Amino acid sequence: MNFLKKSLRSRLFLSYLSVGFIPFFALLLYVVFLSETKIVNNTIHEQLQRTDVVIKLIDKHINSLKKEVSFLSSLELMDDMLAEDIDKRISRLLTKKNNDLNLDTTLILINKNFEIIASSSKKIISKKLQIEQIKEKENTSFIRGSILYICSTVHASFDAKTQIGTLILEYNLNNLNSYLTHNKNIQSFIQKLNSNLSIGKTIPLDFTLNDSKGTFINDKYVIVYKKLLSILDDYYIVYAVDKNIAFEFLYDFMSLMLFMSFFILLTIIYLSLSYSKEIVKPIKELTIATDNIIKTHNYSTSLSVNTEDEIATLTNSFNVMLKTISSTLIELENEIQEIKKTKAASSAKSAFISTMSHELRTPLNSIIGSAQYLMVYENLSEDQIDSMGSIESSAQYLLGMINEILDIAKIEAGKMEIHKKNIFLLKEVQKCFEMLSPLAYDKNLSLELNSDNLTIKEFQTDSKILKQILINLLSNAIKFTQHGSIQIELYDDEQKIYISISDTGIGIAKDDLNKLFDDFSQLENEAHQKHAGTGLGLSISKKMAHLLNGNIVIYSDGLGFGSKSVFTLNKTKEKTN
Amino acid sequence: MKLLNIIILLTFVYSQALAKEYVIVSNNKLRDISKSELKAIYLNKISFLGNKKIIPLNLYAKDPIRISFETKVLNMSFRHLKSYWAKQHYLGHRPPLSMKSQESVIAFIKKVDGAIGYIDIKNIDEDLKIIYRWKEQ
Repeated sequence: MNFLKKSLRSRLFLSYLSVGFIPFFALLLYVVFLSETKIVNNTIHEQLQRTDVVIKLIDKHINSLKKEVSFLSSLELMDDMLAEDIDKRISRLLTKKNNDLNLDTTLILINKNFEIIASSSKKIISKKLQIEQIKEKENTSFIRGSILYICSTVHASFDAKTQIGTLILEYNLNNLNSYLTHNKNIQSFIQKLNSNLSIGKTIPLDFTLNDSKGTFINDKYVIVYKKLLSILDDYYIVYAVDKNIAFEFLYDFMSLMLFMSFFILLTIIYLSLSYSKEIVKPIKELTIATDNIIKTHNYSTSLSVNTEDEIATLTNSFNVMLKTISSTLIELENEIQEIKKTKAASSAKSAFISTMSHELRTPLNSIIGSAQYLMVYENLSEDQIDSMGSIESSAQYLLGMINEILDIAKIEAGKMEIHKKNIFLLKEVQKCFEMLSPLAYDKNLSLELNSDNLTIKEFQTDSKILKQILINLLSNAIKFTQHGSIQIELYDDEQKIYISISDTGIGIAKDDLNKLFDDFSQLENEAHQKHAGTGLGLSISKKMAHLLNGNIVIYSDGLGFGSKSVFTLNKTKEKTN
Repeated sequence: MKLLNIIILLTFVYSQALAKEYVIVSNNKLRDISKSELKAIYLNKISFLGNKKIIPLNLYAKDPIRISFETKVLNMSFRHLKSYWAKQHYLGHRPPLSMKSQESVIAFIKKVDGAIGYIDIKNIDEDLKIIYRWKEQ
């Protein structure tokens, strides 16, 4: 069943198959199961009608014989028997009549003493006939063995009261054979009730005859029987239709059907296969084309449409989609080119800055050195010392700025070298804390370090960069805090080490929080503008934190509510972000 | 003369031999019947003599004895008889039974009381009673 769900073609195939097969199968079932009973019923009906006709014919035949005998017995010629038929006139007449009947019969004329006077058969003349039934009635018919006797008394023509003898027709019942059907499919015979006596070729009957008529069906025959009339009412006429021959046509037809069913099956399967293939073909082509596009990434191709149906609509939509994808891809490629160009320009800029800064540091160092020398060793007036001082501090500022620019350039150019080694984290933090505590002390700020929640002691990282970040963050905190306190807190969890620096300083507006880490940006407000800075500090710190596989996040509840910088270091070596 | 006598005698004998004689007979039980009664019986005008039913028998139509009987005894021609019986037929009367042979007639008469018939006198025997006789030249 699973393949049906997966394959449209199988479903189509199956539905075609069922549409083709159900009527055929119904016909086959009808022929196999119903037609036989129908034929049996028809046969029974037909045979019953036939027996009716035959029974009437036989009755008519017997009656006509009776009339014939009666007629003969009434002839004046019969008076000849009084003269012992010396002239053989009666015998000749009986012989002629008997020949006319053309049956296995004998006409016998007997006198009152049962002596045979005349007969159609010369052999039996002048013998005595011993049949007691003849005495009983004047005109009678009776059966003895297989012979039917039809009697008619003969009266003298000159005296109707005088019975002079009896004319008897000996009728062999086998004559009735001519009324029976004997062909290869219908066997008919006459059977005496409760007797072995029968006329015609019989078949063994494995049932008893009763009622006036009936039917019986066994393995070999369909049998119909009916009682004969009048004198023969002890006899049944039986019609047995050979099933094999009666159903010959049906069986032929059935075997033809079964034989044909093989070809019809093949034809239906072939048609179903080809039609389902035809229908699924454009879908398959679509699939192949799609697969091809996926493999080659060639989105500029389009699919050809051969049909005008729903699949054509699908293909058209698919083509439109392909076009869109193709044009989008081209646009993307162009953008990537642009980005590459920009990147190249950017790295060229970084290289330029790095070289420039390096070249600038040398003369600046000599300016600073010369200024310091002049201030210490030459006897300069106080004004001159002030001027020298401002030259020196400006040069220092410039140098600091150049160093920071150099750092950014290095980081951006990927030239910042990291030397990782095991350090005692708390010790390094304490160093920075001690280094900057004088600055806080100058501004009357309280500086506190809390490391109660720190479980880790040793940690592998670059101590120089770590310290640079911490100093940067701490000095920022001190720089932007006029009064209050600054708290440093160290703690860790399973994945990260946190160094949090909270101050009670000027804080940062929420809108500005995301601008903090941009290069050369210092927030534009009064408080910030009081503080000299390149605006590179946080940007560098964040980039360095990334180098150490860490991050810096700054929180603030707004201007005047202080701020909190959290520097996180990942314990695992994988890089986040 | 002697020759003449012989011739006369021969002629007589010849004529005697040539003249056939026929008889009407019945069995012994029947009484004598006159010629007129005989004629009435054969024309079916009477069928009883006293209580006795009389059954006349004919021979078949072309028999010389029948022809002689009809012309000499009944005094009726064949044509005359034919028209007579045609008329009688419509009245429901049938001509007498006709037998094929004298033997049948004799057998019938012997068996059936009241039966009469004509035969050649040569065929007569002691069981038969002669009722009437005639000669045919």
